[in-house]
Amino acid sequence: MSAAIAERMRSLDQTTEDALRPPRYGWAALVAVSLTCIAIGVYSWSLIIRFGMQYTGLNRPVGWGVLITDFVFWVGIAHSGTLISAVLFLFRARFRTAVYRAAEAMTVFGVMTAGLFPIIHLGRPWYAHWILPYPNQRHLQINFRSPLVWDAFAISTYFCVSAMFLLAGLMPDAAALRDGSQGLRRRFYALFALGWRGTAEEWRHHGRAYLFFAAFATPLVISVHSVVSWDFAVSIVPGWHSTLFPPYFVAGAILSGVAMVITLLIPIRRAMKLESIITLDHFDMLSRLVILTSLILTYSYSTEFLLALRAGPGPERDTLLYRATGAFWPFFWLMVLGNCVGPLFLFFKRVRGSLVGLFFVCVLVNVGMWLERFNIVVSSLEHNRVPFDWGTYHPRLVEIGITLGSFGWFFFWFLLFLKLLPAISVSELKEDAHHAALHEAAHAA
Amino acid sequence: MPGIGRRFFLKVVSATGVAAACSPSHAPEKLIPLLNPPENLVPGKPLFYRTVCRGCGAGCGVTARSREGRVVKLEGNPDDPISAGALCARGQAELQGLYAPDRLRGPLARQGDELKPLPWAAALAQLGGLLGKLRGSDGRIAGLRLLSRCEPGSAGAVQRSFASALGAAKNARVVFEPRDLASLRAANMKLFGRAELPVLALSRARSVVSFGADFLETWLSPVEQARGLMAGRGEPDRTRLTWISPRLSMSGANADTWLCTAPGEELQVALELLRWLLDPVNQVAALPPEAAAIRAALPPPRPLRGVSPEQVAHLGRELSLRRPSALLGPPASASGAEGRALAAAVQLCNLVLGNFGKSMQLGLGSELDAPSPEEDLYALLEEARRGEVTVLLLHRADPLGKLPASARVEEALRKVPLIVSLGERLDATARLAHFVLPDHHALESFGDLEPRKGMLALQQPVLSPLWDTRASSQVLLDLAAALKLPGIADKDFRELSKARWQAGAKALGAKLDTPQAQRDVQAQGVVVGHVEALQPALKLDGLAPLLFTKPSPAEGLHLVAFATALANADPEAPGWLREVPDVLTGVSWSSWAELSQATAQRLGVKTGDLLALSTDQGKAELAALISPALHDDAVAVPQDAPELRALGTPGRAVRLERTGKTFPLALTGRASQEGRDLARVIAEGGAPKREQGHEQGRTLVAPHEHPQHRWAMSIDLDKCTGCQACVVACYAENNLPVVGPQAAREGRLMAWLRIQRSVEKGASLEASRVALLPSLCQHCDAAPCEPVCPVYATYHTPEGLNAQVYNRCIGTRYCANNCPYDARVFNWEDPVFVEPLQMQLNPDVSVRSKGVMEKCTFCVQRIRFAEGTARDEGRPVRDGEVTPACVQTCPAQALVFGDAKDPKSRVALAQAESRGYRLLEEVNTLPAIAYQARRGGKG
Amino acid sequence: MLHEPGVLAVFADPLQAARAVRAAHEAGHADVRAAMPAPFPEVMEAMAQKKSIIGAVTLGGASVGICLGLWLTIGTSLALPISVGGKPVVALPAFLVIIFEVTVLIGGLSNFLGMLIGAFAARRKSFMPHDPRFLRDRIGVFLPGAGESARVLLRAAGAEEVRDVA
Repeated sequence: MSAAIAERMRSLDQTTEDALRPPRYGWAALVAVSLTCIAIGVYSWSLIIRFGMQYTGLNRPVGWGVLITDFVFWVGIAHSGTLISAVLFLFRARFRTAVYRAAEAMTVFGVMTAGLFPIIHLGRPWYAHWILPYPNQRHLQINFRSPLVWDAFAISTYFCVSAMFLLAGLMPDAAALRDGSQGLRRRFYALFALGWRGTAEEWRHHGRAYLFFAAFATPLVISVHSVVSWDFAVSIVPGWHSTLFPPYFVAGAILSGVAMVITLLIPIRRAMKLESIITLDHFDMLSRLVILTSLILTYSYSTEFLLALRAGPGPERDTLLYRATGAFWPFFWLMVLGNCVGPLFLFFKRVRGSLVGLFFVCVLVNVGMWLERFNIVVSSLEHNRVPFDWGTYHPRLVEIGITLGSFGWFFFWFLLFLKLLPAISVSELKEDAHHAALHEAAHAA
Repeated sequence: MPGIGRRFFLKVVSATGVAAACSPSHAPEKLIPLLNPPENLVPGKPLFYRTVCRGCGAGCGVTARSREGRVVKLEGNPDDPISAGALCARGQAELQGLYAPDRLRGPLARQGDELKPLPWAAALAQLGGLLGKLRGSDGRIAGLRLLSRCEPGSAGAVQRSFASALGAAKNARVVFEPRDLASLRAANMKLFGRAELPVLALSRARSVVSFGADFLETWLSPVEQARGLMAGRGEPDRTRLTWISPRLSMSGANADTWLCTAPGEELQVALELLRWLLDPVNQVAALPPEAAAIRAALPPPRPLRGVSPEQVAHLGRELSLRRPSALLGPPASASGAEGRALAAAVQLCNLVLGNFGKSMQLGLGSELDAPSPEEDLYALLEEARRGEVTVLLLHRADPLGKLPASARVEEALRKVPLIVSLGERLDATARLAHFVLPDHHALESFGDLEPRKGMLALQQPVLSPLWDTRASSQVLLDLAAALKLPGIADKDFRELSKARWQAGAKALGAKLDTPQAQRDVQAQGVVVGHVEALQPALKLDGLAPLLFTKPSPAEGLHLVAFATALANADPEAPGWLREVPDVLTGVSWSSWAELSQATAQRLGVKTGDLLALSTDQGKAELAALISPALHDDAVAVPQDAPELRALGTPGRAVRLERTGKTFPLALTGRASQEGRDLARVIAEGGAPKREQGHEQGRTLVAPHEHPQHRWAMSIDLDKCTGCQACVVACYAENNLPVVGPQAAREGRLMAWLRIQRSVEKGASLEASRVALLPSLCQHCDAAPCEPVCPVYATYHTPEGLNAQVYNRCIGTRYCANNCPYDARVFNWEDPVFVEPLQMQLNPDVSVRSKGVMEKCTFCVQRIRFAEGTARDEGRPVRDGEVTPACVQTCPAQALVFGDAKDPKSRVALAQAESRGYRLLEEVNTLPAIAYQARRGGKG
Repeated sequence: MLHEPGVLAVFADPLQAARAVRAAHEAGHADVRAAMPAPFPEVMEAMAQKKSIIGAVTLGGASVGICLGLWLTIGTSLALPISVGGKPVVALPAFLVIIFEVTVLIGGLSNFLGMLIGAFAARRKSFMPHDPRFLRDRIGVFLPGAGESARVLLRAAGAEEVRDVA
């Protein structure tokens, strides 16, 4: 039986190493596409910088639009990673091992993307650093009462912690690859291995540290999207000013995040032949998460509306009704379709089981979640408290270009990651493999 | 060295280093464009000059604020009885006329088909030579005509003597005022033998009735009349206004009652009213002796379409009880026999009600240089067409641009061999001229005029001429000298004018013996004597033919022209007047045609459709705009619209067709409150309803401390006329950029202060009301915009101002989103001030760059100025000493500003008023601005 | 690089490795060292290591974070008391967010650095012969300064190979 375990481990190493050699042309093509998108985004932003925000569709009263929508969207995307790796780790949910590495990478790159938008959407981005606390000749500190400052802190903290979490998990696998390769690659992996040897002493510290990371990351996940929701909830804009927002946003973030994980894993699994590692059971578990969070979200939507209607005539109700029936009513109902109705189909094993169905549902969820943020941001501002100023907002090419660029930016890093680093946690899988072997032995006996 | 710290030392070193390192790209420019600056011109210290506004015939006295040799702001002259310190939007925009990029910068002379620049000497020599050749044996030029705008002063005198000395014809000089109230003049002539316009004292009237006369926008003397009307507003027993017109215009929006007549039916209504007043059955008290005679002269009654007899009777009863009253009309657009008849009927009502000498004063209107009757003008054009006019001098007169196409002006002008245009810009007529000799702008020239009897207004330059221009009167004197015209001795216009006004001033009892006294009068800007209004004697002969009437116009669409306080429809108007949206429609940067909702539905027209209008005179294309307050038979077009010239005088039938094209109207704001009750109206005598359920001022944390002052404002909605003088004043004072039509369409106007409108639909069209709400930054104690700013770009000053620090702003726009009043404005692009408009920029206010948030500052620079002066004089700031630009210029005095901490201050008292309320009390932002609800009429 | 003589055994099966470790302990070998591709619980148990002190380090970092957060928010606000929106200058509810984030940030950083330093120190103070297989599919057990008896013991435990490290 001993040979069996060693055999399993070797096959695991084999698959990961194969995974690092994805179909060359396909990969290169995707990288080219994402680089083009980045170029478009950069050019669009340069227009805003040179000629001012007039190139956006923003106006009085709509001061925030697609750019803020993108920001919230990407922060949301960045949420599942830590959830899967940290929360599920604390819950000892075994199915996470196969998927959490990819999810974590997605988190880090998601935050890297989200973090750009608060800067891009500024009227004077060249002064973005003024939002950070540092001793300056202006004899001025930042206003810690402003949710935007909370954002800056939350996002940067979240980025650092999830990045360290990712690196900590990478060390053993990177070490294995280091010893298996030469030359530049060896140096590269040595960088990530940080001198890892796999001794019991190292494992002792690693284990504890990993546990603490999980312990830190879990409340952080909750806090970050709560803070993002406070950007809106702390204001007094009808349609934003609601105590419901933090839990509602967190649930939404997890939904969008998990959906994005699934959307990404399905093609990756196929392209990298990871079927043996990422099995249908994993997708089954993930889709259960989707159902759960989608139900929470549906509940939040209905609560939001019931509260507004209950509030009687006035700005609150007008704004909410406008959201559902106003200029962007198709967006609203598409959102309901994507976030509330679509996931319900996952109750059926047949949909859950077929990757095509699952993929379709998850893409729909991603669209729905983007639209949710758009509806919240825009429709509320369109119908503020003074009817004289009620207006509409139509995104312009520049904003669409920047959004495109953000997707390019995200996928560029993700593709790089797939090519260079193991997309699954080999060392943990080995541990699992050992357990599996023991079970089988027990059954055999 | 003591006293010099490290920081300071480093500052000095770096400063000198920088100074040494960078060499200026161009020669350093002098702050003060004067060779040897006068001692009283201190950089950073404003100078104030008194002069006269020549924007319209009212002749308001103005105070021009000058900084470093450039005039930056126009305000009313507090010593002037007409403006009393206020100034209308158009008056303030004269400044942009002065700095207009398209002003002529030197003389032009025709060479072939085009006008080429020419030095003054050469131009005058050539012109003199030509005139000399044309002189006949008697030294006169038979075909010489001088067409001028109304010049009730030295300029007019010079022109008259020039015309009579060189011209042969008896009406060689024709005074051309396209906006003159000719019908009213004519009627006064026929009725009382006085071809003058009345002077109104509306503050004495208890009821005012306007037959479509836009007396708060452009009619007669709007600033004075707004002040007069609103002096009687705010109190429980307030001056009532009845508006009689097919369209509810801005003046009408201030009315308690609107009688929506069919187009052209105002005359019938006036006659019926007169008939009712004279009918013995109604026992109107104190009828004049002529009553019977007038009654006899009345034409037989005709059925009214728009207005019911009950309404007329109701109005008559009100007028017979509430005396004195004032009946106003007709508007400038009324013309011909019908206009005269309406004017006569109105004046007879005033006579019957004994308003003359009280609210309606005759004998005060200036008779100097009265505009010539239309006939003279058309005679001149006819002569020109016959080729009898050989020389045509035009002084600030643009017949081609202003008269309807049917007058065939171009044909006439082309027949004239020598046209000399003395004006400011290359208008339509000047383009056909042979010599264009640019005049100074009114703010660059000396002069004197008699706005009304017993008054002398002095005009003086407030800055050195910008371009190579010359006072037209001086040009005429020079020509006269060159041609050795008999009877014109003066060489220098300034001297002539000085002698003339000093004589006039002496006649009015002013002491001018010492040079100082003369300077004082000049500094005063106006000399006021005392002249009694006279009781006009009615001439009964020719009354009946005057009061002619014709049957009410048939069903079907008719053309109606209306005046606007701004000039959005006038392509030649300065940027401020074009960009600040029309207060009732929200249109900026274009002309438009208004249809009633019913008519629009019938024709299937939507706002923004391009319509083809055609009358028997011609056709024009205009963008449709559906008006909530317009008679179904009316198609209303702003009187500034150039398209109106093609369509001919209003009143005629008009046909509408859809062109299928649309026009991108720049519309701002929605005319509805969605029942949110922002601009409140309370029934007469009633108290405003308070919002339930929230305690004002209750906060979790202790409220602000305001150690010294708490600057606050109060806005009386019962007095606000909606004239938007405040808005334009804000543009001028705070360097707000004019962004143009495209940005206006995108909802990116930069106004810090807007007049928000909302139309409250009533049971009937006539019952619908327009509520106006001046809206600006409320300077809240608990400002929602402040805590959300990450970089402290906005914060609360100890004096209670919600300050915005442009240099700190990074442009998150969060503050604007969180402002419940939408008071904040974002700079979507870098502002553009076309040369030389940038000379108007106020040096006390920084020009903002792109990406920065801005908003009303309560004119903090003016607060600091007042505080500074008070400190220098070692006294506390007086109440009323600090006035933001909007408060300063409000003709209706609806805005009050001051220190709310001082319980005796006017603002504190106003805020304590029973009609007082704050905007959006439910969000509990504790605004510094209190509104007083409008008192609703009995409707 | 420090170097010690001893006996190195290579196992394919974690259970056998664990057995070997225990046996070594019973045979009086206090200092048993191991290397493996994953922290197999059996082996880690058998090693009977004492708990890592990372917890303490992280706790320290977190408390430093709290202090830093308090100082940053309250300190700067008091140094520059600007009145905004009628809110108190020291608005703790708002500051709590910042304090929490700073705590997590510093805590997380110290946790990571603690782990790196811990692992680095372990590599410095106790020598374990390196073999790429220990990162892939084999488990190494090393008895420093052991002799023949140890070799027998390890073979008995089921080692695939046993060799002396000179």
